[in-house]
Amino acid sequence: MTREEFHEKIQLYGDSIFRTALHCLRHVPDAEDVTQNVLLKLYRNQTPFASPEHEKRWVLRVTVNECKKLRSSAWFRHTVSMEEYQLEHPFQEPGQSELFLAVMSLPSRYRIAVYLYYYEDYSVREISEMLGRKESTVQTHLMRARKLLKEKLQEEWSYGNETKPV
Amino acid sequence: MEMKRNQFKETFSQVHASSACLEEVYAMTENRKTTRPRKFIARRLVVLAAGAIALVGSTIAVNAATGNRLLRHFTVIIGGKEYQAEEIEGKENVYQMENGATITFSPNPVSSGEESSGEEENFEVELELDNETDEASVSVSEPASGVSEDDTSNAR
Repeated sequence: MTREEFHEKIQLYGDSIFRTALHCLRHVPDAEDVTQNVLLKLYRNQTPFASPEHEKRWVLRVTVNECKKLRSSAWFRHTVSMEEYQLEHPFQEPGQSELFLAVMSLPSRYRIAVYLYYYEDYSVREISEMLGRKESTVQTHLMRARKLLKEKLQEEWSYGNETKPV
Repeated sequence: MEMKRNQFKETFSQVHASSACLEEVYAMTENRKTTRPRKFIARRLVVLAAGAIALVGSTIAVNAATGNRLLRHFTVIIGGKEYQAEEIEGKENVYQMENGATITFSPNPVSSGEESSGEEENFEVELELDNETDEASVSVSEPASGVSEDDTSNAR
């Protein structure tokens, strides 16, 4: 990969990797470390991808794995404050800060599933492959996350057809 | 559901990795290309230097342990045939070859009756071995004069 191509990849995937890592870790510096590691892995990767979608899925799967590795390490910082981040990066619309904080207050296993489903538009099956969890587990996590968000935001987070628990 | 999905996307699309983070990773690839080979070369040089030091050190140690005899051997190749020569004890610059012939070197071939100019000079050395008589002769001549023979040592 040339440096020009890599620059394009950074623009294409940098934010997605960061958001995924932030949902996993809920810690901005750690999420940025993971972002850099994943981008360097992409730069050094020698295996060609079948399609851009294949490449994106590879990137997100590597991101999830890097997050898992970091969370299991002794260096993982458990004390986090998303309020500080939200104050430093104010959202444009009213209600967005509340949604951001509500999602970030979810348990980590729910957060990543919610992000991949609602932001990246992956199906439950694809999320289960990416996270290495059963489809039924992902569906349960999404269902519980919606319930928690409903309680926090006093709003209804309805099911999609494909995420309805079996 | 779509309303929530859109709301979610609008909210989290405002979450970005810092430009410093992305610039740093881009710079890392540049550093990787420039610094890693230098480190690699430096490491090889260090290994080579350590090897050379170990070789010289062990040679000096062995030479000292053998009473400075290690550096008193050399190989003479005449017509493709190798002869081992060893300095004869008590006789400086006189070497005996394994076939019994002796070789005498004059350390300063121009000193016979002449004073050295102090400048460095190169001399041509010719070694001839007579297989029938086992005589070896060493001729040292100045290349400038080409033919003038300053010193000839015959050895038996």
